[in-house]
Amino acid sequence: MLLGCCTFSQSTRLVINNYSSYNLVGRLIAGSPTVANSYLIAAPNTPGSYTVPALMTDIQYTSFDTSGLSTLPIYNWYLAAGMFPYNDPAVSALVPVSEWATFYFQTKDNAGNSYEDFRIGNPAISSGIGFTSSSYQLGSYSEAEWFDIGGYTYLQVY
Amino acid sequence: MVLSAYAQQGTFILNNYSAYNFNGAIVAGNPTPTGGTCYPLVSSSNPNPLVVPADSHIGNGLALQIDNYRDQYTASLYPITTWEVSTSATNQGVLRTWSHPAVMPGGAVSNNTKWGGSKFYMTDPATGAQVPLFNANIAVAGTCNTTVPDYYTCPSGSAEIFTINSGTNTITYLNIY
Repeated sequence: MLLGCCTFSQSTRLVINNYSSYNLVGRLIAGSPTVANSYLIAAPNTPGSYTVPALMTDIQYTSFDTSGLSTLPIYNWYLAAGMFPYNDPAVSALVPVSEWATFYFQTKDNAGNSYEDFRIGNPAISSGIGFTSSSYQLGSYSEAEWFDIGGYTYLQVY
Repeated sequence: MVLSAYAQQGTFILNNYSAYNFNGAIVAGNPTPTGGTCYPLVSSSNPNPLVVPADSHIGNGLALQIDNYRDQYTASLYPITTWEVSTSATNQGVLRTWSHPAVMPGGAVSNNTKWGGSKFYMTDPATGAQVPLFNANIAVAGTCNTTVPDYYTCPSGSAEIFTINSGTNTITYLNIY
């Protein structure tokens, strides 16, 4: 251990709680408002696009380069240079740089019918990488909020 | 290792030993605020005011006791139907029914809030009139609300708020005399 050597860390862990009965299908995005081309977009998991299943809670991503070990694994990330496995050095290089920005998603039922669009995230970070988001959105069927407590960022959908 | 930010909400007990009715709101906040904020914040919203009648305390079994935001609705003598939850400077004052997942035990808000304060006024149970000077805004010492005292006194009575650690639980007492 080289304690004190390398104090890099990404700013927060992401916790996703989907209390709704809809699947959340879309693009989970991280990035840096100050370092160009440092974005990460979660690659598709089944069924075809990054999907948080209905009623799945306590999903945690400790860092980008351990995302394959989560209860809802992200095995690959799209970076500016292409797609990389989560444990690739190219992903690790962005751990001290990028932050969780936004989740653009649709609520869908199991038959694949779409209900609403949400653009939930940290407005300051996501706008810095070209994505408009808000920290709270109330729809007709669902509701979503994004907030930070301590070293954690929470995305909760009801 | 990174330390967990999780903390337990704990139990809230209001003992009204006075001859007047308590009317007010109770507030919980982040016990370990970071970045100078107290979020998340939770306060009682409905009923408004929350009323605890004169002479209602643990001595006669009539105290207000809240073990968590959800179960109090069925367990408390003075059920709170709606909580007002603020999770950030931009997510302010969202109303949550007692059974909503946002305030359930083990959730992000429950795990990161602890009882911290109250603002209240006292009324005469016979007439409903406010008791002169017997109103205050008090908060547990050392919580994020540093400008509010943890003790209040006036000619008609006094109030104090404090916490006691009991095993793994933290009990916050608001006593009115």
